[in-house]
Amino acid sequence: MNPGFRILIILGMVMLGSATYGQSLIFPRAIGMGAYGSSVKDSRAFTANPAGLVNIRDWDFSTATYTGVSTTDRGFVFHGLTFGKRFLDREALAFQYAPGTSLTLTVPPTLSIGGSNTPVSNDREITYEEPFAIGFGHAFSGTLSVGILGRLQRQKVMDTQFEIMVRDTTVYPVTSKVSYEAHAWLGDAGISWNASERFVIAVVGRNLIRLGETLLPDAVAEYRLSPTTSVELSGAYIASADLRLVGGLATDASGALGCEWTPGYGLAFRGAVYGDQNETPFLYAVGLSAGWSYEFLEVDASYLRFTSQEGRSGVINAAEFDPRKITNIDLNPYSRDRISFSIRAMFGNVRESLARIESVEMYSAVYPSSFEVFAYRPIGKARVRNISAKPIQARASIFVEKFMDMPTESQAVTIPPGGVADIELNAVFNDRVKDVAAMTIRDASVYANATPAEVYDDRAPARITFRGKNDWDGSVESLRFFVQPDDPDVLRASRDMLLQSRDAKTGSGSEPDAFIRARTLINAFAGQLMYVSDPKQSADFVQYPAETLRLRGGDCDDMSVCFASLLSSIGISTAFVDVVPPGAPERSHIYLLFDTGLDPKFGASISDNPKRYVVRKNREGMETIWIPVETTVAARGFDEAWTGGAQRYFDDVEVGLGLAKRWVRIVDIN
Amino acid sequence: MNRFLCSASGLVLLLTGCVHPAEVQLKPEEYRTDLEVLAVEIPDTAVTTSAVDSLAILPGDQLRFGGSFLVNRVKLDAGPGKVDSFAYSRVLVADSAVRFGDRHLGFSGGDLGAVSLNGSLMFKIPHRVVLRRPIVRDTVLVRGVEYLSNLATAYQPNQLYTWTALTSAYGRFEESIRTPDELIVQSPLGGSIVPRERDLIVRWKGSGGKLSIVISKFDPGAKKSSPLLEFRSRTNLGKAVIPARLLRQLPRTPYYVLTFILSNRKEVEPPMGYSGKILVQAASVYNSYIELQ
Repeated sequence: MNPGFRILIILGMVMLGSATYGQSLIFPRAIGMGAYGSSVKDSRAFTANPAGLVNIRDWDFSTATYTGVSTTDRGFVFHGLTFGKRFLDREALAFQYAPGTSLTLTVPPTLSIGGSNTPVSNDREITYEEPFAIGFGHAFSGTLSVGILGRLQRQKVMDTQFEIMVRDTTVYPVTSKVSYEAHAWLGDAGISWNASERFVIAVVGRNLIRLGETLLPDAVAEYRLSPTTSVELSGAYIASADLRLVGGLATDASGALGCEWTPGYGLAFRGAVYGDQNETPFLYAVGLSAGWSYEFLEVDASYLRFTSQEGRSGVINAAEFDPRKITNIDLNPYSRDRISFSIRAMFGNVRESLARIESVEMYSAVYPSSFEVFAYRPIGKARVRNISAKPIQARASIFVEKFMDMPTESQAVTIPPGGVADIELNAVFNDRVKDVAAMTIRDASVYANATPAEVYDDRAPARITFRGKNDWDGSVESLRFFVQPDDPDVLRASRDMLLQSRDAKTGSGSEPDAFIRARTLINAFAGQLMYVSDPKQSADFVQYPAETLRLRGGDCDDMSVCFASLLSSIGISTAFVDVVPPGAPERSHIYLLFDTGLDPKFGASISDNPKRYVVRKNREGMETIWIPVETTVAARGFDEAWTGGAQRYFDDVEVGLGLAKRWVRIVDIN
Repeated sequence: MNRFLCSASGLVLLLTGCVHPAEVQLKPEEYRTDLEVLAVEIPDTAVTTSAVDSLAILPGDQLRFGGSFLVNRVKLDAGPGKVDSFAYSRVLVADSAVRFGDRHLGFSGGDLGAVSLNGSLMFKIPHRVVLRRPIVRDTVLVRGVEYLSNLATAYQPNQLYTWTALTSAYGRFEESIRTPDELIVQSPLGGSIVPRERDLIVRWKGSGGKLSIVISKFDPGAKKSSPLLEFRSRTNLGKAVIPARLLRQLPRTPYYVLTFILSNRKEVEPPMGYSGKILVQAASVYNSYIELQ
């Protein structure tokens, strides 16, 4: 290795601090990949990073065994087993029993008691073990998960002690065994972050907390393990669909690089190199692994080879033993070459995914005034990839807790093997959306489903902005949804106003009934208005008609909506005239047209001046006379509002040719 | 079926992995496992036994045998400039056991007539065990004869020594034994200060016999040693470790003597007319007088 590069790596490691590298040697997949913190996807070796537990599908069981390679330590050792379970949608729990995660050091006997039946035993036996571990993972989102882990670490020392006893006329040497034990629950925490589609970054803090810690007594203090707090950083780069590259560094200046190649047919091949500044040579171990998966079953094997066998023969000089070197009970300066095997089985909801969501895009916010439109109009789209080897019928659905009663599913889309399709998402919201007082952002779940079963193949998070109930996106089409002719307050107001004005009904006698009623209504409401404000101050805020009636005021949007609601409540068709002057959008304006239902040939019965009304088709397709009303001057009475509206319409449409040039739009409301 | 296969496979893995993880042996630098420690019998008598450091026979053995044919080379190392050595042969055959109450006081030495060693006549001298008491006169408890030769210049390692006795009453008696190598102790030398808190590494040179080490309390005033423990080396590797955890248990008295004995021994039937087994021994003995702290 280039010395400069090596120094750079070491410096990077050292800068992180000083402590340990939590590589697990229980499972072949972890051995074969080396830096495993960013690749935990099930209960196997979850101690490398408990945050990865959230990738468990349902029940997960795995067990592993290993054998030494040399003739002195050949024989299968039951290394451990793990159980994992996913709860709800975001949590998972796992338990590990690992009797094989144990390191026993023996000090051979220097003396035996001659002429007695006392068996020859070691002077000392020192055992370090981590038999139990329990982990919990929680996914904050589809890209970020965290996990915590507790490991029970035990340290045991069995010591032989001599005593000289005098009995009768004989001096006897006798031995006795004394045992010491220390233990602690060590707490780790991990984070896993899918920084992008290709990068996964994981950070694990080791020995962050110690619970119930006891220490070996001073008599055997030379064998004490003192776990120190440390940080491990690892990352994975998904180079392609079948190649994953991983790397990791720890604060004890150790680390690993590895890869996993999945060529298909359920096969996986892995390789890793392990580096440690305190080892000679620097790259001190190589891990190779192969696996095969079929349906719910996965079988793996691995071979771990240390490049230097010094100190790994099973016999070391006692003077060179240093417990501080044992930062990992599985992987330490005394670990030996090994061949490992494991079996993993998944139970419960473990169907193979056929589809994967690659991205989700949301088009717009949800306005409570118009939330129903998303039942027909897409609120967003999901890009779904067929990850199976056959064509699939994929659907996408979206669900927002509280605001939806159930997920809204899209139409099925056929996607060829390996292909991608954008599936548009519709959403049927419930009435709780109307209660949103102010803008809020809610998490949504987008699902891809490629099979008829009720479970989904993939899930991706999304965020939807819900606007406040009075928020308006500025579009006149959206303004229509504020018009509420069926609102009880509107109905009551319009009928009260008509009743109060019944006796004062005036007119030429030839005027159509709709015209008279509209005039009566507008005049009656005009008498109640307290203010009409500048529309620029509340361009994205619209009052519902009941609010305008209650407040007795509003801007042009509010007044147009209110008058349209009142007129519609008594059966008069209305339309908004939306004016956006070219080059001056700040002078945008809305006013109202209402349908008199009068045939144009009788226009003189309303006005001799044809410029004071508009001839256009009503909803039945018949041409009728429509009256323009400038709602901002309605406070001065119907005539002023009509005159103002007619003048604006003439200027905008007849003079400015706004309709032809499309800066004036007339949008029917009913 | 698949679930069954999975369960069976997992079970196989569990069952096959029944071996404990391999151990790592922490080997001390001077690691030897061939040393065994034995109890030492101290007979209830202060008068009948001779010191181990010169006789190279534990007190219990001295009383167990009905006699002994010895050829010993003895070195006494009390420190630099305080090294002495001698070699001798002694023949003592029990005539009868002498007891005083329940106490076994010794044997009166039987007269074998003329005894020669490798053709050289040995001196016949009186064998007495005397009870010395304050104020009153000494009492001779055991009377008899023993045979002695000074081999200070004649002793040779790896040489066959043959005793020949021609008794007038029972006829000819002959026994032989080969002397071992000259025993050289390298550690600890006389005058060494040995800490109790450290393993004591003992080193020697010499083969051709069995090696044992007797550790005894030593009273420099009375020049008397009291054996406590005997260590035997099974394979005579030339070095061994006496662990600190044992040294710590020895009485707090400071002075000790380590008696290294490289010996060839055999037990033979006594001459006609005598009872008990006879010990025939050729030994090279090295005494290191040390201070244990």
